[in-house]
Parts: sequence; structure tokens; C-alpha cells
Amino acid sequence: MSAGATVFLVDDEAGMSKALTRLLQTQGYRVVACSSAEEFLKLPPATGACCLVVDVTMPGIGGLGLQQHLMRSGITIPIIFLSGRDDISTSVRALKDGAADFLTKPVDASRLLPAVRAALQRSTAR
Amino acid sequence: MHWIVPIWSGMAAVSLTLAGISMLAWIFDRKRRSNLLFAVIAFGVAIWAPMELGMMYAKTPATYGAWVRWSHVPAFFVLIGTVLFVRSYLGTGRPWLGWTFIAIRCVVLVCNFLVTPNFHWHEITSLKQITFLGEEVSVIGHAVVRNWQWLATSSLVLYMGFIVDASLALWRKGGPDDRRRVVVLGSSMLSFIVFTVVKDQLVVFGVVHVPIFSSPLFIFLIAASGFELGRDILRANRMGEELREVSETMNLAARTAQLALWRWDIPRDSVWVSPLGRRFFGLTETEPFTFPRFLETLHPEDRQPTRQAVATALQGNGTFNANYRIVLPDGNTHWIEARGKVEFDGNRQPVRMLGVSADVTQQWHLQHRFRLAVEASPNGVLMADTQGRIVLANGRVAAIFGYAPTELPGLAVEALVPERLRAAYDACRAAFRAAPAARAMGTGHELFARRKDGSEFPVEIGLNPIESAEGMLVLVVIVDISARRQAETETRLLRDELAHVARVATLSELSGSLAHELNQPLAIILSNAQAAQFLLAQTPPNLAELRDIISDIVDADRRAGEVITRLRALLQHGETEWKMLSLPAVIDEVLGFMHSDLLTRGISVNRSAQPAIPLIRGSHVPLQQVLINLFTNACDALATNPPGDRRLTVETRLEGACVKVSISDNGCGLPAEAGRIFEPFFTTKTHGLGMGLPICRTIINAHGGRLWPESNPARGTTFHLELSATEVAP
Repeated sequence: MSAGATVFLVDDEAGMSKALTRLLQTQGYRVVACSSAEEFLKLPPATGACCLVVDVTMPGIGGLGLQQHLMRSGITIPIIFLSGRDDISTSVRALKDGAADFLTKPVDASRLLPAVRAALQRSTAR
Repeated sequence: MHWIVPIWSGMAAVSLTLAGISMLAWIFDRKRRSNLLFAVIAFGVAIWAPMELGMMYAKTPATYGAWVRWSHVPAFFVLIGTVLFVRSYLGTGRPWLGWTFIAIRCVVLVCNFLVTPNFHWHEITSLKQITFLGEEVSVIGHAVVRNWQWLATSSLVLYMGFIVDASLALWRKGGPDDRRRVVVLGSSMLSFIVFTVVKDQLVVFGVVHVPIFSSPLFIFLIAASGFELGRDILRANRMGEELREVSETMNLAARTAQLALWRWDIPRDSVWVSPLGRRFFGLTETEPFTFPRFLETLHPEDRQPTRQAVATALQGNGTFNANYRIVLPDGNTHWIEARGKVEFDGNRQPVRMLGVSADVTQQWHLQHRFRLAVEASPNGVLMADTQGRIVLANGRVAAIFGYAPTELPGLAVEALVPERLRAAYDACRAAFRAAPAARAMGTGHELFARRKDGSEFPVEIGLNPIESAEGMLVLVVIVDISARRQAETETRLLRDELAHVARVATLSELSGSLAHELNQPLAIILSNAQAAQFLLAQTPPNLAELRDIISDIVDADRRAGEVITRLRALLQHGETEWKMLSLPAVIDEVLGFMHSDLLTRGISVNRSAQPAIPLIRGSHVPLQQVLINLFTNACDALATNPPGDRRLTVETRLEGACVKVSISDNGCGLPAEAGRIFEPFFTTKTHGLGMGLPICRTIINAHGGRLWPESNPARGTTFHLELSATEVAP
């Protein structure tokens, strides 16, 4: 368990963001929530074990835009996508570009938490 | 030269001639009693004159006495004649004076023939010869006068009294013409009688020696009477002339007015008809015309009623009014209106009927045509008086209200109005009476009428004031709009149905977005709930955090509930309620639905609204539907734009009395066939129904608003939507 690891959460929906923050905090993670991709990019570079949980559909560049941006910037951080709809083409694209996981909302803790754990392991493995 | 015989016989001849003329005048016109009396007087004088000649040439006292005796007969007639003449001609004189005089003269006449030689003398013993007008004539030489001859003299005083009385009475009450008659007749009679009485008394008492004669003096009276009667005849002639002129004028007027004049001599059953009338009845110029012949000319159906009208006139007040048809030998029918007046004799027996008839065929045709036009009207037409009674109604009124046509005239218009609306009807009627002008009744709200069986139906009513001889009438045109209402209802139902279908189609397009809208709160609930589970497993559980979580779950649940309510409303079927709505709020709701769709499509939405936009009156769901359609269209138009350049602008502002929403995109613009976008089944989308915009426009039209597109100067399209603003601010 990587307690103390940081989970970055990017979701434009305040309610969603709050709920996921709570859930992740119960697992002992440090959670940094952003309401947009742009806001996340403004954050200082993360250190230590960390992963990114991001909503696909957002105003601005959105989840996929963020992934592209990070790729272009050479920042490698495991990304778990959350999507409101079962959109196969989007998920395939995201996974091909190195996404750690692609989950559909509503996302069950039994799927999210293992995914976060796996992503954090990938992060520390890097 | 001998004068006496020519003068006396000349007088006799003149008198006889005048008597004859006057007699003839009376024979031709029995009403001229004065002429008869004058004839009697003149005839008396004509007899009297030769008798006076007999006296003058008498050789013996006996012959003289006999002539005097016989001369009483003409004298009687002359005197009685003058009294009656005055009474008849002047119309005045106290009757008792006249009758007393006549009675005395009768006594004198009878006594005259009971004694010898006559009334005046007891005995004439001798005659003597005197010279009169250059001739030797006989007069009384010696005679014994009877005492009672005073009776004859005093009767003449009575006679004078009567004449004076009659003259004065007429002088007082009459006009200039009557006064002239008094002067001419009264003075001539009086001077004659005074002169005769005085002269005769002097002769009787032997004071003067002249023959007894009266006739030359009477000739003046005759001349005076003749002058007056002659004037009358002249006047009668003039009146006859005038009468002829009046009659000609009448005939001319009758001809001009196309009136036939007729006169029916009832006892002889002979009808005189003016030439135009003969034409009316199809008679030749000479053909005799009688009542049975008249009935024959009538239309068989009109014979009995006309006969009845004539009988009523003859038995009743003598007024004849009838309308009948004449069927001419050539088969043409003419409508005649006839008016007549019956004249009765003293025994209330009808003597004759005078009248006029007018050919009213043209008017009848006009009326008939008018009646046919009213009758053939597809709408109910009725006429009511100011008391609200039906004067006239066409068959259509009877049909739509379920009455028999004969039941309507006289019925109160109120009977055609549902009871619950009678107060409103009374108010409307009062308003119409106050300011009578053509208008539609009850504009702005639905009117209902009541059938005889009590059922109600929707109507449209037009009111027109009509000035008529019977006072003001109201022409009411009633249109039964049940069928139209029915059709409108059916159309509305169809439109609603179609709108519903289109709505469902739209929603199916939006299903992804809607699923997301529902998904989001569910996801929030799930994550919160699971966080809570983990928190509860900790010791001690963080209760404050748990309370927050539960509160958030409740909020998210509510949000999901709202989504479902909205969705249900959109899928709802049937009538929607009209209420006051804030358009910016509806826009926010719809953009809320579409939030996820817009995000997915990468469209940035820029909405702006003027502050304090007034509310509009509308139906919520259909307006949402319109906005969804317009937004979806805009999104579709933006699909070909590069990501990041997909802009949707929604602007709401007040323009005049309207709230205007402009939905603008910078997309691909209108199709080439832009004019057809509101046509049903016209679509540029592969899976489009082609019903979106037509339904949008129908909905906006039903709201009394406008919807139109406009190409943007740079790129894309703007759809403008205008709805009437109400006074109420949100």
C-alpha cells in the first residue's frame, strides 16, 4: 500500500469530485482535486508516487486533451479515465496512448480502488 | 203707342223663360232646391202678370173682382216661394217666422175663395177709367173694403220681418260673398214688398188711382235672384273646370306612379277602371268589368282571401286592403297591392267603393330575391326588434337551433342563449342599444348558443343595426362553428401528437446526453456511499464527514429525480398547461439537459440575457422542445468545425413588446434550399425526420410568436425566436 501517495483528481463536476476525494481519502491517499485540465497543468510537478484520475468529458481540452498534453510534455503519470458513457472508440484511443485504466461511471469502489492501486504501483515502478 | 200689354206680357214671357231655365237646372240636379223654388216664383210672376192685365182691362166690377180673387193664387206661390227660397238659398231666417207667414197666407188664400168677390173687398160697386201709361185702364171706382184684409197686409209685415231677420243673420255670420247676397236679395225683396204694401193700401183706400200691380216690381226680385243663381251657375262651371283639372292632375299622378284607379258601383256591380287598371287586369278598353270578372282574373289561391277582404270592408269600417296576384291571359303573374274605401248610404248600405291598385311585381321580385338570398345563406340570419323579439329568421336558424321555422317569429332571442350566459347577453344587448354599430358579438371569448333541446354549441355572431319603419331592428348573423371547433381540436390533437413524436425522436438523439445527466448523480451517490462504508469501518467513525456525505447523497438523489421529472415531462403525452414562463430560465434548463452532449461535441456555449426580461405566456414543454431542436441543429451545424472553434451563442433581450431569443452558431450555415427548411420532411440529416423545424414553427405560431433564420455575415446561422412579453417581470 502506498499510503501517503498522491492521487490527482480532475473533474469539472464539483459533486463528483468531492465524492471521489472522500472515497480516496478513506484509503489514506493524499487527494489533489482540480476542476479542469488547465488547472491541473498549472500545478507544480508532482513528486513521489502519484496517479491521475480524470474525467473524459470536460469543458476545455478535456481528459483526452490532457493526456495528449502530458505526452507531448514528456510527463509520464499513470492516468485512469472516468467516462460518463461507454464509448469504445474513446477508451481504445486512451488506452493506446498509455492510459492505466478506463472506467465507466458510476464507478464502483471495487474497481476504482484496485485501479488506483495498480496505477500507483506503476508510478513507483517507474 | 200702347205700352201696357207689351210690358206685362213681356214680363210674363221673361219670367216664364227664367222659370223654365231654372226648372231645367233643377231637373238635371235635384239637389238644386233653390232653382226649383226660383222657378216657382218666376212661374208665379208669369201667371200673375196676365191676371193684372185682366184687372186693368176689366169692364165690370165683377170681372175685376174675379181677377183679383184669382191673382191670389200666383201671389201665394210667389210669396211662399220667396220665403222658402230665402231659407234654402241663404240658409238663414227663423223657421217659426216663415211658417207663421205661410200659415197666414194659407188662411188668406182659403178665405179668398170662400167669399165674393175676394178677400180684400166686400163689394165693388163701380169701376172707373184712369189714364195709365197713356192708356185708359180700369181701377176700383167705389168699393167696400173688408176689415180682415188687414190680415193680408200684416202677413206682409211678418214677411218683411222674416227677410230682415234672415238678411241680418247672414250678414253677421257670412263672408263678403254672403254679404253681397244679402244686399242684392234682401234689399230687392224688402223694397219690393214695402212698395207693394204701401201702393196697394193707397189703392185699396182710394187715395191714389193707379191699377193694382205687383209683377213689374217682382221682376226686380226675379232679376236679383236670377243674378245670384246665374253667378252660382258660373261658379259651378268654374268649379267643374277646377275639378276637371284636379282630376287630370290625379290621373297624371296615378299614371306616373303606375297606380290604377277604380270605382265600383256596388248595387249595379259595375266597376270603372282607369286605362292603366284595364291593362293591369288584362281588360280591353270597352269590356264591362264586374266583381265576379275581377275575381276571375286573380290567381286561384288569392280568390278566397280577396273575397274575404272585400266582404270585411263592406261589413266593417269600409277599409279595403288586399294583396293579390293577377294571372294575365299570357300567363304572366303580377303582384298587386290594392287599397279601397267603401261609401255607405244613410242606411249603412254600401253604395260604392273607390280605390287604387299598384303593381308591386318588381318590389315583390326584389323582396322575393332578397328572401331567397337570406334563406339560402349558409349562416343563420335573424332579425330582432329592440325588445329582443325575433321578427324574421331564415331556415338555417331553425335548423341549427332545432326549432320548426314557424316557432321562431315572436320568440325572445334570449331563448337561444344558454341560461348561464344570459346576464352577459343582456349587457351586450344594452351596449348595442347604446351605440348601435355593426360589430362582432363577444370578440375575445367564445360564444355559445342554446338549442331547443337545451344543448349548447359554439357560435360566432355578427350584429348589424337596421333602421326600418318599425324602428331599429338588429340583423343577427349566426355561424355554427361546432364543426370548425371540432376540426380545430382535431388539428391540435394531431399537432400535439406529431410534436410528441418529434420530441421522442429528439430525445432519442439526446439519449447519450440524458444518460449522462442521470449517470452523474448516480455516480456521485455511489462514490459517496462507498466512502461512507469505509468511514464506518474506521474507529471511531468520522461522524461529521458522514453527515456531509449523506447530505451530498441526498442532493445528488434530488438532482437525479429532477432529471427524471424533466424527462417524463418531455415524454409526456397530451395537453400541456399554459403558464407564465421566464425564457432565460427555460434556456438554462435545456442547456442543462444538453450539457454533456455539448461537452462531448466540444461546443462552447456563450449565453447572455438582458436583466429583468419580462415573462412570456406559454407552454413549458413545447418551448423546451423548440429550444432543444434549435440547439441540436446548431450542434449539428458545428460538427464540421475544427474542435475549439465550435461556438454556440444564446442571447435573450427585450425588443419592443417581444422577448427575442437569438441562437447563433458559427457552423456550416443553412442548406442551399434554405427556403424549404420549414417544410415537413425536408431534412439534410441522414437520420432526420424532417419534422423538427416545421414543428418548432407550429409551436411558436401557436404561441403567437415568430421563428425565422438568418445567415450570419461571417459564418453560420442565427435562429431568431420572438414571443410577446407580458407586463409581469420575473
